Amino acid sequence: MPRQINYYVRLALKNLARHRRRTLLTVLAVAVGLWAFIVMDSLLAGVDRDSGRNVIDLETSHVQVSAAGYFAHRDELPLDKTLAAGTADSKLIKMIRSDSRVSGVTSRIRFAAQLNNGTDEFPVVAVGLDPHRDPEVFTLTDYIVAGRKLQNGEYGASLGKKLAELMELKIGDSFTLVMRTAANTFQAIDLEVVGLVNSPHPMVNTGMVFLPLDVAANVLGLDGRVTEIDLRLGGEEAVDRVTKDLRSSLKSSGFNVDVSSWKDLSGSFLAISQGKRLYNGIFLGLVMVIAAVGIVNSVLLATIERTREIGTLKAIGMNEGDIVRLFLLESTGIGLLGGIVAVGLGIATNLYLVNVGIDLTSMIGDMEVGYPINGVIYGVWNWTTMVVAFLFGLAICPLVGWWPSRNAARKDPVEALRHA
Amino acid sequence: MKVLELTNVTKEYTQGKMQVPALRGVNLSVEAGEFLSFAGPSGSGKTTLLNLIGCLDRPTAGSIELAGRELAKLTPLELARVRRQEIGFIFQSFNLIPVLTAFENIEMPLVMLNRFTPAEIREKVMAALEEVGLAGLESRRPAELSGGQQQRVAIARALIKNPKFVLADEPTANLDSENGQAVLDLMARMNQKNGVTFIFSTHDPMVMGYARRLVRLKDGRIASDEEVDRHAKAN
Ligand SMILES: Nc1ncnc2c1ncn2[C@@H]1O[C@H](COP(=O)(O)OP(=O)(O)OP(=O)(O)O)[C@@H](O)[C@H]1O
Ligand SMILES: [Mg+2]
Repeated sequence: MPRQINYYVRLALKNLARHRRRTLLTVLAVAVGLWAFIVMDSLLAGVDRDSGRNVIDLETSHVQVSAAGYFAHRDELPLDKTLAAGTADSKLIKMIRSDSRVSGVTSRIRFAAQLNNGTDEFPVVAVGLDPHRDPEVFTLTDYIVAGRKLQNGEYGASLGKKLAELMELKIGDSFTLVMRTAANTFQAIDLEVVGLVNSPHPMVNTGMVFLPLDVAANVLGLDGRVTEIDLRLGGEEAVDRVTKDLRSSLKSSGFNVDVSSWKDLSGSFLAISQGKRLYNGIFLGLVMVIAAVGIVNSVLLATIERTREIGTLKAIGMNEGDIVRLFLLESTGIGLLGGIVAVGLGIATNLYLVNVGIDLTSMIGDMEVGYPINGVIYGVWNWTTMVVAFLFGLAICPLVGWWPSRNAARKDPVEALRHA
Repeated sequence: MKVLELTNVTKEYTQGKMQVPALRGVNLSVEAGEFLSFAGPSGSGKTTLLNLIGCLDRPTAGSIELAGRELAKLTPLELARVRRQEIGFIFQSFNLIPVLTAFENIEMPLVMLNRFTPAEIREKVMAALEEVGLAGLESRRPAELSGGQQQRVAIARALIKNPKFVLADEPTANLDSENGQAVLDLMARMNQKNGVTFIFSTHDPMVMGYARRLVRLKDGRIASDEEVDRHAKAN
């Protein structure tokens, strides 16, 4: 059999070379489909990775500890479910720190507020943060583009650059933050803009105000209490384990708390990401339909052109199966070439996407895309995708080539030999 | 030894709603090593008869026994195996595979038999090329060969597997008389040398002259069946 295969492979290759242009076009159709899949997958993975990073670094941290029941109501930003963890020497924080996988711990108070600049009012999420401990967990201070960091006890605020532009605030300007306290009374404080933030997380830029934790606790009437404790871990892989371990260890130590991972906290963004994956799958299907039409067309034309050759091969002693295999080898050849071209192009494109990326702002402007990502999106190397695309091409081509091949093989040899 | 027996073979083609009779009761018995020609006007049934003998088609009625097998009892797969093992075809328009070289065309039946090593195949094919007078042209494609040369490649392809039968439907019709004679000389020589049974068809009197048995067909029936004494003719 191997000797036969050698011969038939040579025959298939020679037949493919017979109509170079047609073969090339079919190969290209297959290759473009697979290539698009590779590129889409790389970009989606890049967006996922960067979004995840942004969510962790600027929004949720790796793991969050909050009062029991807070997680279920977190969208309402309640102030009646708080933890006694205002300072680093609180028992709860010490307990958390004792886990060696935890590399940073900070506390925050998150609350709903209205930002008033004297003319307009805008709803924001306000965050009271500990200026010393916050950088252990969050990267907010890396993105201060004007002004300076917050300091303990000052009536100052950092806000997103976009938000500042919208509210026409500059460094040194003052605004009023209006909120309900823990006792559900209205409260207002004047804050001076001390820093502007331009981060890769759009939500931070457009809808958040940061102020010192002690000031926030004071005005909200939350003496020594916070809404959340945020944890950074040595490595992201440990998130699920640490979440689980803390849940049980804190509970057994008598702390009545919710422990949630960043994945739990950002469920909606993960859902979008899953949706995009599905979309990429459908997209792959569509492109492959086009490629399949190309293959069916190309095999069909070949079988018509070679009717008399099929008659001859049958006369020499080939049976239907032999002829089907002969044509299947040709479609497999197309799949193989298509796969090689696709992976080659995919690697070249990905080299660019990973290192340079696509600047979204230049394409769609400063628009919000409902995704925790901003600016440049990068590709990700994913060899599995390349292998999958390659194998998919290799499998799908003979699969769609099967029907016209079988049709060709069923031709009556007498009729086929009479064919001009 | 009898290698082929046709008993009351009829063949009708269906064309639209019409039944076209092509053979109307053919009886024929062929011994091993014969050099037999079907002759007759266009439409007399020569091609139809050769297709039936060559296991490419089945009769409407009657029986064909080929090399001891009743063909009607064979499945399509078994018929293909009979063609692969026992029968070599030579066609009017050569029917070489255009993308393959002379060597590759001739080697194909051996590859299909899957019994020989590449070295054995190479030796056989080179010997066959030599035999048909095409030594040195093994890497030419059909398009780079003359009609006569192509038909000699086809003869080599038909004979390479040592078949019991070689069937040739008007093998010289597309050749000029000089090349036609050369092809027939070659066929006659192979018949003498290997004892392969040759059955061919023609309506060319010159070609009929080569046959040692001439079966004339008319309207799907055998009109005459005679041994030709070539010596008598030559004298
Ligand atoms: N596929 C077919 N469908 C319908 N009728 C056919 C078919 N093949 C042959 N015939 C008819 O059968 C009869 C015998 O045809 P056949 O081809 O066997 O004759 P032939 O002796 O080979 O003729 P020629 O010398 O022209 O090749 C003719 O009347 C022909 O029209
Ligand atoms: Mg004919």
